[in-house]
Parts: sequence; structure tokens; C-alpha cells
Amino acid sequence: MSPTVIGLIGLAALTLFIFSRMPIGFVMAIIGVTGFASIVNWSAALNMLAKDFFSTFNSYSLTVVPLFVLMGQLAYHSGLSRRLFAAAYKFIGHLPGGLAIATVGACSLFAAICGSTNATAATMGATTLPEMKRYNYKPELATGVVAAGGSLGILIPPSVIFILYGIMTEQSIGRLFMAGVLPGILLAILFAATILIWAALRPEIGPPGPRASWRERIVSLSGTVETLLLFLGVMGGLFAGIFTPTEGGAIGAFGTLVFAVIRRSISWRGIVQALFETTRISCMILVIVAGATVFGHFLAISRIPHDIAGWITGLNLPAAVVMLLIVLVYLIGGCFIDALALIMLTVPIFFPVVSGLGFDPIWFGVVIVLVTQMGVITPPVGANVYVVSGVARDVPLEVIFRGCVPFLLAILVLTVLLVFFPQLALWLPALLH
Amino acid sequence: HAGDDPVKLTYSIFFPPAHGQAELGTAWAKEIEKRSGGKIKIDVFAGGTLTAAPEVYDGVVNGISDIGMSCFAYTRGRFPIMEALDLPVGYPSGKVATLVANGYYKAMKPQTLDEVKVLYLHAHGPGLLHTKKPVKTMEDLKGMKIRSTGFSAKVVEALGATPVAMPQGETYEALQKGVVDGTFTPIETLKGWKQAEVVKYTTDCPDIGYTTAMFVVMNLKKWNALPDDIKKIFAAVSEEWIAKHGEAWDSLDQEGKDFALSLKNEIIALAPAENQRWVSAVAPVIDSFKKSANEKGLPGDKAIAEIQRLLQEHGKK
Amino acid sequence: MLRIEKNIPAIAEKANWIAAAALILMMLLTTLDVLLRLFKNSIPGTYEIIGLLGAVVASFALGYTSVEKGHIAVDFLVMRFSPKAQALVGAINALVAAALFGIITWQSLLYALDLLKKGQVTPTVQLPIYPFVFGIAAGCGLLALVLMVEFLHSLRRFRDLKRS
Ligand code: NA
Ligand code: NA
Repeated sequence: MSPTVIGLIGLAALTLFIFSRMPIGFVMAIIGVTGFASIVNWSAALNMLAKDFFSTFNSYSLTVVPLFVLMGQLAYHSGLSRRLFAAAYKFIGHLPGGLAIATVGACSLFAAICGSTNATAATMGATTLPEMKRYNYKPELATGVVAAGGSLGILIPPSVIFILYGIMTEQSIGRLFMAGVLPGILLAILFAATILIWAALRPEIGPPGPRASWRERIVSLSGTVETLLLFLGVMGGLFAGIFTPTEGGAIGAFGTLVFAVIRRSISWRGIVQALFETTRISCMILVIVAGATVFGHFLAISRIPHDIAGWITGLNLPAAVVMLLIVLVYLIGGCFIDALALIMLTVPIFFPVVSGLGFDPIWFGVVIVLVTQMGVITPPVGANVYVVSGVARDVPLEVIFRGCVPFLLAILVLTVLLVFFPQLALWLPALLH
Repeated sequence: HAGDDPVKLTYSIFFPPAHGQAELGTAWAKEIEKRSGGKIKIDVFAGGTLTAAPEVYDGVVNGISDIGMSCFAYTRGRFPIMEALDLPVGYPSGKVATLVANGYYKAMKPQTLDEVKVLYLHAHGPGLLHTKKPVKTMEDLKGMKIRSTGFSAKVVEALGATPVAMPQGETYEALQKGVVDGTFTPIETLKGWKQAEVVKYTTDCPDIGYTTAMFVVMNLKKWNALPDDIKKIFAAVSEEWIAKHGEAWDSLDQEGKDFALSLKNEIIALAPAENQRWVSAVAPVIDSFKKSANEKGLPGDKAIAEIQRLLQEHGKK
Repeated sequence: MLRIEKNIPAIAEKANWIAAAALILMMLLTTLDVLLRLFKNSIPGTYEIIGLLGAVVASFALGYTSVEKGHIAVDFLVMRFSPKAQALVGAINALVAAALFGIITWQSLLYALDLLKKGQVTPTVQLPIYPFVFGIAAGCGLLALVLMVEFLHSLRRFRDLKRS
């Protein structure tokens, strides 16, 4: 059997066995290692399996996950996020889906701190999901908005994907960061609009509350002082260059703990719960990443991403059609493998073609980020959906995937807008350079 | 039958695909395919898509990939003799560093590398200091936070600055925001990783220039299974590529320099007396390597002497 | 019910305390390093140590996460099966997954022994790496045991449902 055929069988097997109720990370690891063994040999495949688990668990860049999750858990168990949402409810709770819109806002602010889509979803999930539940928001809307909100984390700088893309294609990372800002803000607005429309059509998913008086609103703000201080501290520290985004997670967690202990708003039991929830959620995410790494190595050795990319570029089609096909490859590819691995495998082949056809490389970077972010909320491998499901354990996966659909449409709308108005991405970098 | 099917090999390169060194590694593979008359086919996986940088070597030993290119420094402790190459002995260029690395390997033949077939080595041009504020003397450097890892962290410390370690991918942002005040790295990084956008000055200090030695190795079983004529092709092409890698490192350094200058960055040359101070300041780093190697029963003295000799031979000013 | 079936989940929870401790250490070490940097100082090798501590967090939480049903799975298809079929699927899954983590344990042990023999250390502070790979072996071994217990449970449930 040729590696390509084995690769295709592996993809089919993954799609099938993901429904077996076996944990997703396990399924990917099993199919990945078996596939790799069929192409290379068992001794190499087993050796790779252990290495992939170690290098994933030992990855410094992935430590953002446990640290930011801990920050979120401490904020929840100390009531910090409850008071913040109580205030948000007073301000926009009377709008249909108002709290979900507040969550989009929180995701955008958090995205300016964190460069990882998974960490954004995990932290926002821990802090906002219990609150939306408290105000009777349907899990569909609540989990959908958090899973999709993670993609703001990657579009609004800092962003790991932009850094990787910039290096691979020799583009200015500073320009890429700038190019992500407007589409990021626009996506946040589109998400908010999506929520308003959705909640207007089905009021029960995000029931509007009573309109609060300005007096009540001002009073509610007093409960948010420490959150604001904390946020200003972390943002300030980042912009003043005191620490990196990766370190920001540790600083944020430490700061939250200090505030909670000073205010005596967290019990010993609460701290233990926060720690245990954090190790559980982080372990779950890291196992999925490790499984995806094993599977990614199998796909790489099967050369399928390479073959597909080569095939498309060899077709000699009109520019617009080529771009459409490339977007499709990322959309479908994003359903199966991690965005970073996909970009690493395909950008070297697509990039020369895309720039040869006269597309702007910075613009293409933004498009790729957007399209791969659809991948993290589409089945079967939708990393952010799994993350959210790990936080909201009472919500079935299919409900979360369903909740993502309207937001997926919003990302699609933005992609189309970007295709017709490249200036959305290019205007800001041109202005600043 | 067996004679008609090409031998298929996989080659894992840790450099991102667009990096000049990854392109050169790919060209090496193509040349071998060509000269073997289609008897050999090499699939290249750049950017760590098959094995990540620290796992490349062990991946070759265990057959995850058949050939691999990575740095000795990623698996510290494993190649204690080869580590000496990364000391700040003052490499003038990538060409010289690459020649020294290959000559040194032939002279020392460390047993640790017997489990693979070493095809060739290469090494980058002098690691220099790039900062947001000008550094003309060691006093200017005092208390600055400089991104560095491994030996280069020791050098940074010896010069009186604070070493801060982080992945190369995070360095851009850390420099931009001022988490670190500079980075200690070959000048090609300023273009390759875009860091020239976020530093303003380069202090040209090649006399303390360190390098990072890199290997191209092959799985021993796969190597032994090759017919002799093919082995000869591998050896011949590898020998030719040593010079090409050295030249490529130098032209990458030149591109890095041009890029930095195009962004109005300034290159500061150290005054001769100051230069001597820097050399004296980092001498203990080399001495302590020698001492600790000797203590472990490794030929530390011989290693340093050999590197110094090769440096002279290959044209240190 | 065997005693070991009760003990293993308890051990998994104890191991998770190690993960929690490593998590706190990560937070404190990073915070301290950042604070020291304000005074032009730093803890050398923080970056390497944080990565290794991350490995401790993930490995020692593996068993507990499984006991808590924390490893995400897609269950809406199997949910529609009969209870008997569900128990059977559960038993097969647990057995296959136990085999997977048994293999990772074995391979990690080999990997750790190799790192020990070759003397591989971290680049800056030269911390040995092998103990952390042993840690992964320990965590995966514990997870394999947790999964074996789950296999026995599912198998028993399947037998009971078959009888009734
Ligand atoms: Na971000
Ligand atoms: Na997906």
C-alpha cells in the first residue's frame, strides 16, 4: 500500500473512531502510531509515540494553558468573575443575549493578553460559563460564544500563528500583528451582531433581564474594582515590557490569588478545587495536543497535505479559483489536524503560488488565520469545542458544536468581506509603516 | 524487482522551509537523487514537521527519519566533546566556523556519534550582540536583559548582563515590548526572525563570536544497507556541501546586516582596547569548560587546542 | 470487588496533588523570576524548569483526569446504543486505551533509561531530563491501571446486563 492510501485510510479511521466514545486524544494517538508504523516501522513508531508525549508535556509554549486556566479558575472560585458579570448584567443584561455579548467583549480584552486560542477558550470558559448559566442562558449560546471567542485570541495580537507565518514567509511580524487588529475588532462586532440576531429570533437562549437604573449600575461597579486593577496590572505589565504573554498567565494567576486571599473571598477548599480543576482541564488539553502531534506526524509522513497542496498549485487555474481551493483545503484540513501543523506543512507550497498570483502576503496571512480558526470549532477535531466541553462538563459535545454554527457563519462572513475588501487587513499596517 | 525501485529516505530538518539552510539541505537531497540516477529518493520534512528540533538526532537513531539536521546544543550533555565548538572562541565567519566544525569532528571522532553516520557538519557565523540601546563598552551592558541560552547565557553573564531564556519565536515580541533589552545571536537572525524591526543597534564583537554547530546524520542501518557506489555519492556531495553551507551562512549574515541597515539600525564596532576586555571577560567560560571536561575524564585541553589550531589554520585574522 | 479497584483511583487522586504542587511551583517561579528581573536579576534556567514542571503537571494528572472522566470523548452515537452494548463498547475502549498507555509507559521507560545513559541535560542549568521522562512513565502507568479498573467495571456491567 502506498503512504497516500494509508494516509487516507487513517483519515477515514479517525472520522469513524472519534465516535467510539474513546477519548479523542487517545484515538488520534492510536491511529497516528498505527499509521506511522504501517508506513515506516513499529519500532520507530513506538519510539515516536513516547517522544511526542514527552515533548508536548514538556513544551514551554504550552505552559500558557495551565497558568491561564488557573487564573480563570481562581477568578471563578473567589467570586471575582461573578461580581464582574453581575455588573455587566446591570449594564447590558436587558438586551437579548446581553451577557453573551459581554463575553465577546471579555474575550477580545483577554485576547490582547494571550496568544493562544485554546488558552483563551479555557480561561473564558471557566469564568463566564457558570455566570451565563446563573442568568439562565442556554448552554448552546453560552458554550458556542466561548468556543468561538477563542479565535479572537489568535486574530488580535499577540498571536502565535502570525509569528509562525511571518517567519515562514519572511513577512514582517509587526505588520501581521497590525493587520490582525481591524479584522479582530470586526469579528468581535460580527459575533455580537450574531448573538443579537440569534437571541432576537429565539429569546429563550439568552433571556433579557430587567433594565437596571443608572444608580444600580454605578453601585454594581464597586464589585469589579479588583478585576479591573488585575486586568490593568496584567495589560500594563505586558505593554510596559515587564513580562511576556506566556509569563502573563503566571502573573495573572498569582495576582488573582493574592486579591482573593486579601479580600478573604476564597476558602482553602476553593483553592484546592481551582487547582484540581486546572490540572484536569490542562491534562485533557495536553493529551489532545499530544495525540494530535502523533497523528500530525503520521499525516506528514503520508505526504497527503504536501500532495494535495502540490496538486492544487499544478492545476493552472484562475487566481480566484486557486484561492478558493486553498481556503477549502484549510477548512477541511482544520477539521483533522492542529492549525500550526497544517500551516507548517502547507504554507511552503501555497505561499509562492499565492504571491505569484499577485495576492498580498500579509492579507493571505490574515485569511489563513481566519480559516484555520474555523477548524478549531468544527467537528470532528475541534480543539476549542473540546476545551469548552472540559469546562462545561454537563453540556454534550454536539450541543457545543451546534452552538458554534452561527459564529462559524460570522467568521465566514468576515472571510468573504476580507476577500472583497483586502483593505480591512492592509489599511492599518500601511498607515503605521 | 529490487534493482528498479528507488531507495526512499526521509530527511528531517529543523529549520523552517524558507530558511536558506533548509533550502540548502533540500538542494543536497536533490543533488544526491540526481547523481544516483534515480536510485535514491529523499523526502524532505522541514520545520520540524517530522521530528522537533531537540528530537531530530534521537529520531534518526530510532528510525523516525532516516536523515536529520539539527544542533548539538539542543541535546546538551549528549555530545560533551562536540559542545566545545559552541564556545565563544571568536569565529570570524560562518565559513570558518563550518570548516572548524568538520575538521574538529575528524580530529576528535567522539564515540558518542558512532551510533549514526555523520554526513557533515556546519555552523553559523559569529553570534553578536543586538540591542535596543547602544552598547559600546561592557559598562553599557551592565544589567541589560539579554536573550540567550546554553553557553551564550554564560557569555552574557560573563559580560555583566542578565541572561533571559525564551524560545526564538517569542523573542520578537519580548524585544518589541522591552521584556529583554537585546539578544545574543548571529546577525542573520535579524532578518530570518525579523528581529531587526525591534532592535536598533548591533555591537560587532566577532572576537568573542560563538557559534552553534549543526549536524547532518543518517541512520546507521540505512547507511550500511546502501551499495558502495551510492555511499560514495553521499560522501562526495556532502563534502561539496560543507563549503556551500559555510558560504550560505555568510551570505545570510550579509542579508541580515543589509536588512538591519535598511531599517536604519546602527552597527557599532568595538574599540580595540574594549575588544580585548571582552575577550578577557569571556575567557573564563572557555576555561571552565576545559576544567569540567578534564574532570569528567574527557580531553578538554585537547578539544580547545584543536579548535584554536583549526581557527588559525582556516584563517582567523 | 477487588481491593485494588478501590485503591487505584485513590492513588490517582494522590498523584494529582503532585501535579497541583508543580502547578503552584510554576506560578511562583515565573512570578519570582519576573520580579527579580525588575531588579536586573533573574533565576537562570526558569524557562527550562517551567517546561519540565509542565510535564509534571500533565503526567501526574493523567490518572485523576481519567477517574474524573475528564478526557473528552464524543458520546452521542454510543449514547443511543442499548445499555448492554454501551457496556461492551466501554470495556473494549478501556482495554485498548490501557494497552496504548501501557505501551507509552514501556517506551517512556526505555527513553528515560537512554537519556540517563547518554547524560542528556537541559541547555542552560544542565538539569537532568530523565527523571521527568520517568515521571511520564509513572503517570501513564497509573492511567493504564485506572483504565484496567474501568475495563473490569464495564465487563462486569456487561455480564450482569447479559444475565438479566
Ligand atoms: Na491574542
Ligand atoms: Na475542526
